[in-house]
Amino acid sequence: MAGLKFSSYEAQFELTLPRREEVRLRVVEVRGLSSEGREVQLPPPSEAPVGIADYLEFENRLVKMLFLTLSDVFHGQLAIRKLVYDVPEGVLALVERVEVSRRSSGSETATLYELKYRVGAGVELASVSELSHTST
Amino acid sequence: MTVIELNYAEMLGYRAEDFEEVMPRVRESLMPRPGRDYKVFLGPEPELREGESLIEYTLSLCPQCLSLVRAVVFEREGKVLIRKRCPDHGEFEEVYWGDARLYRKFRRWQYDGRGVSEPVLSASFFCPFNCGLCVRHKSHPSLVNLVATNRCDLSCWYCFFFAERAGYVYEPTLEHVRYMLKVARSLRPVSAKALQITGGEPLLRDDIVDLVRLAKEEGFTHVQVNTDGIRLAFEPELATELREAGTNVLYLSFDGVRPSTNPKNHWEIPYILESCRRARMGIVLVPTVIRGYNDHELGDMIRFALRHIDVVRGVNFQPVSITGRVPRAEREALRITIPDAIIKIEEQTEGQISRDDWYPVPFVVPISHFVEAMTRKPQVAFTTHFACGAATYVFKDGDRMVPITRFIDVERLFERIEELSQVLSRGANKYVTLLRLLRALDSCVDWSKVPSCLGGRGRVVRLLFNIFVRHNYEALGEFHYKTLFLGMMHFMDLYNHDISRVQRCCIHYITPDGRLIPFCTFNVIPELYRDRIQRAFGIPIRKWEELTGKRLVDCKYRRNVRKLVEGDAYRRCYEGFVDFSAISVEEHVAISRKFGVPTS
Repeated sequence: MAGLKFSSYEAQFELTLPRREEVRLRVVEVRGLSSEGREVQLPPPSEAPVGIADYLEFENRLVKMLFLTLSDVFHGQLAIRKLVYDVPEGVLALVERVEVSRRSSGSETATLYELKYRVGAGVELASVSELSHTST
Repeated sequence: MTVIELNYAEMLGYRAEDFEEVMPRVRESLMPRPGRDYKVFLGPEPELREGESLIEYTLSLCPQCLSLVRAVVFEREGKVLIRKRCPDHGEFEEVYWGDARLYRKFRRWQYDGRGVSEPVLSASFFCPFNCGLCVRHKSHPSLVNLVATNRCDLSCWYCFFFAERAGYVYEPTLEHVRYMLKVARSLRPVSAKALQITGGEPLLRDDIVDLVRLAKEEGFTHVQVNTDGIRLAFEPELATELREAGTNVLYLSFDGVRPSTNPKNHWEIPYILESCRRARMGIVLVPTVIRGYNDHELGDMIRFALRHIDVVRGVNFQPVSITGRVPRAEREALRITIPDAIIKIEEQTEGQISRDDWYPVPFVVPISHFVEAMTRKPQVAFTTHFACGAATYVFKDGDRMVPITRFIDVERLFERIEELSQVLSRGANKYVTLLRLLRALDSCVDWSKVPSCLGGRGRVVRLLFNIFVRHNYEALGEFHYKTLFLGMMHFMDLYNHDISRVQRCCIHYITPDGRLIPFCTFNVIPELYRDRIQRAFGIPIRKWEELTGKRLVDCKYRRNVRKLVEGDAYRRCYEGFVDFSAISVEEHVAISRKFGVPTS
């Protein structure tokens, strides 16, 4: 498990269908969990260039959070940032909290999602849940 | 993983359960693979030039190497175009929609569907190289195609699909079909309910009636057979058997009203219509529309359909999808898009069916929302991309054609239905909401303009109520008997391919390995989907002939032109469309032979 990395993505893009919307994804926190369920602090992330495989991984999370695909995201301009965390030994799960804000004419929403990942030979998305939702 | 070498001849005795066990591994081996089958270039988006205005960016394919590339959809000189650049093969530009004003109108009606909750595949590869279905897909299948055979009684010059050209016979056994149908029926949250049996020529199967019966047994409420109909011209009893087995409608190839525009089955059409009349089987005429070839006959095709409205339920125009790699000048000569065809219909019907009478397919989604809110059960919803299809309904009022939009304010009505479904889903009383719907229906109709064939006010409201609220299949049937459905479905090709349309596709193929593949990837990338899959499940021609004791060549059709044109049914059918004295039997024969159908 030594040398295992976890990539987190922050992004900003515009949707055009079925309506125009601006969407922003911000990573609020990423933490590790040990086998006893104990919280493990991760070292600060470093920024890395986004490769082709990252788009697939980003889309995988996006589909499960928002039912959006790369095709939706690429309808407008996409700004994407990749943050890479080293996963310390003994970490069996990762928890990532992502805030998604969506703005369309006359309304704005902010939703906090929690993504849980299994850590084994690699890092695999296990579940996505919505923690809170506000609209104005 | 390498492609599993299947020997389908050894699977002929398999039961549906056997296929269920084996197919996941086979499916895995047939999937497209990065590097081997495709590349991905997600570089910067293509730039716009002077005089062009951005509509949106999207993802598309390089027509040469199938790489996934970024593309831009833009407006220029009143048209909508798509442009993409492949790092290896350069730039490609194509007309996406021939009229920007209609594009903007249609764009107003787009809904996201629910997709499938238990997808067949995980999203391991980029779209559209992962088709079958996966979590990315935004719609559920509303029509499932089943290729019953690749044998065909014709050998059309432009077709690469039929058995002789493919080099194998693809014809899944009934038990294999049962497995495939079960996969489609098991989709959630909305299972497939409508099936199209297609080919090749599906009527060449000796067990075609059993196949229709099987589809009904498996729970498909709508079964249509996509055919050239030639067998029915000579075997009227087959039409009756198909109808009795549960076929709802024939999807009949029909490219024009004259021999020159429809050399495929012009001479048989009158006899097919007769067989279907006798069998009480409805027909949808399906013309492939090609610029410069049959686009001058669109109005006549509608008039022909109205002439035979006792048996013809609709015309579903399909603007040509340009298969293979075709030079730009040739594409421009052939290309016709949905709005081009709509505008030609306006011209050729002297404005009786105008461009404003057409709406995109997802326009009707509020009906599904309403029924869902009423029943609290997920419903079939046509959430296809707005650019994929268009439709309207036309009524025959004496010699006039009256589109439904001339006496119903459909936009206001559907807005109201959408509002009411939201009210219902928030818990409003069902019966009060139904009363409000009735009021809305009544207020959106201009009663002074309702065609007389529809009957009185009470009857029209009841009819609309049954369709919109009860989702009553019989009511829909009654509606169809009085009207002509006009549809357009423009399947994509490599040049105008738009991945966001693929992801919203509602028309899928169920494949023998248990995948459901969107129409426009199955046929547009045959080397990764249609041909790869069917070859894997095909039986070499010689082996097939040994096994069945048949000869493939014996299924080929030989036309007796003289007998057909001299029949009463021929003249009755085409009176006013064909100048009988202007075309000699020899000319008929020459047209048939030129197309590739031998004559006797």
